[in-house]
Amino acid sequence: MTIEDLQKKAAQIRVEALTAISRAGSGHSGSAMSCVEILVSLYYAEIGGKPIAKFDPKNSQWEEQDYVILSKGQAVPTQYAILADLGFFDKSEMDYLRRVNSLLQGYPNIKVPGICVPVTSHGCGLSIATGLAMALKTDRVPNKVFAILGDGELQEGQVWEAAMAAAHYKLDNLIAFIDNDDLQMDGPVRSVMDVMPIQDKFEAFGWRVLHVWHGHDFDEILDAIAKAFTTNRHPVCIWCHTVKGKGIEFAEGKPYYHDVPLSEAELAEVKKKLAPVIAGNLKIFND
Amino acid sequence: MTLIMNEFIQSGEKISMLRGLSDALIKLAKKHKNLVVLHADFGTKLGLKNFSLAFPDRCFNFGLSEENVVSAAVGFSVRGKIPFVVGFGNFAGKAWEQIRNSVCYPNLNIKFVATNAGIFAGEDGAGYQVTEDISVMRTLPNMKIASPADYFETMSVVEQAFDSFGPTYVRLASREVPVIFDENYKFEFGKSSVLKKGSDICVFSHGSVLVNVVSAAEILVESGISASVVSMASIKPIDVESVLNFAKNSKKCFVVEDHNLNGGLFSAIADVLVTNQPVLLKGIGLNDRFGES
Repeated sequence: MTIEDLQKKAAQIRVEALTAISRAGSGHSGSAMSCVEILVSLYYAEIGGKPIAKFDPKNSQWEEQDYVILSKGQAVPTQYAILADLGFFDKSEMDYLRRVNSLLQGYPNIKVPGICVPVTSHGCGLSIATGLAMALKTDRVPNKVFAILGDGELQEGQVWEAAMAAAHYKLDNLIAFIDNDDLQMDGPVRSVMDVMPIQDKFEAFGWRVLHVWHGHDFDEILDAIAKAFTTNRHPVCIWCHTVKGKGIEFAEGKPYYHDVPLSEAELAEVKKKLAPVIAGNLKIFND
Repeated sequence: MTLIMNEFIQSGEKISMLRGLSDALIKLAKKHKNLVVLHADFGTKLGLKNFSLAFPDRCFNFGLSEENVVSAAVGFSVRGKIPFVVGFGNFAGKAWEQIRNSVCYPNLNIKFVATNAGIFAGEDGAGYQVTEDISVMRTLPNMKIASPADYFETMSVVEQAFDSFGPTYVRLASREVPVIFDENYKFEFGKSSVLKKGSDICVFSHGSVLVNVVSAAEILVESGISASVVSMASIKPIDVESVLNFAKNSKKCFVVEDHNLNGGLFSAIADVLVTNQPVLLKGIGLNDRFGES
């Protein structure tokens, strides 16, 4: 996919995820938007003619697949929208997000084709990713593990237990993205409990840290992933500056939209705004 | 139900349950390449030294990070490994939410083995005596719980835990305990073992105090009381049929356990009896309190 195609895909995924959240009547609209470009990069982009993450929508148990672990599980509607778009399951499932007995529960669940690990609690995703990367090393296979963490999540002590273990076991098959949108439920992360300096912390734990200043710019994200692929004997943290609610003009950077659905009128406004992007007539994310 | 002869008790032979764990893991690992052991810096104390020497590439020390080791086991499980997470004392309680959300909810095939069961864990005091673990594990859907009473039962429990799909919690005493069973004994989840058949009362028990219950039953004979002693090593699933049968044929029932009665085997048996066969039930254990050094 070209960068332009990736931008169109990101706009499409935004609309589909927000529509599902609004229909469900609950969910994390703002949080699901900040990681769209990271997830779209992993599932759709290529580096050197090869897909970044290997997967098979017809066989979610494929031995040679790479693993995408959404540790900030509240953003899973974005991952669901991508998996549905890729054919892991029927798109109609998106209509039943968060419903009783539905396939698509509120947090990542392994019953969903394409969701490989259960993530429900904050702070446990990097530990699961670490164990998975260790198992792959034990089997001497080249599969990779990608984890996406929120910045508020870094307040969890378990994240740093995992960071220590991943460096100790030299897991160069593990890449962790930090979706640093600066906001959490109660407000700015730095006011609630400052997690900075992220780079110094991960480096002190033995990780290689790559900085993405514009976490919605595909060129920057792909450049960082390409560099991460050349790293040996260290896990890699790709620290991405992102915007909470990205793509929803009136919600960008507003903590209120962290965990609420858009109203019908708000959703209509977003759809109107993104329609030309999806149609390929307008680029909006040139930051 | 199996009638077990307790001739070994007479011999006074004592073997650590931790040795039973280690021997069983080595035996299983020789046959099954997907068995891995994860622990949090207690490999030597937990008797895992021999395992780590035999299988260095399948034994992983995570240092003092109990939450991390539990979640990491989830990652191993994704690749078809069967992890035994072996931990000191209350580690499973410390990582309870991780066990609930990431292991029991998706029903993953991960085994947890905890040491220091009960107040006999030692002189470190209440902080290191594991006396509420059954309570917090019993409430988790999909979780099976076993509390073996000696070396041979530990061996069999560990083997059955491996063979039986799903999350499993095994609690072990750290001290050496007399041998009750023999190498032919086979533990089964959901099945109790009758150690002694009596006609007056019935005592249900589990873990390292079971041997004391058997001795107490012998003393009761001198007082003219005939007591049944039933080993309830499988705490969840519980042997409903056996519990109801003994309740029906006994004047009184007792539960003896090295655990808080609140949520322990006492509660598990009360749950069965109250809905099926109401009978006078008395618990001997920790009554909503902590232990001492």
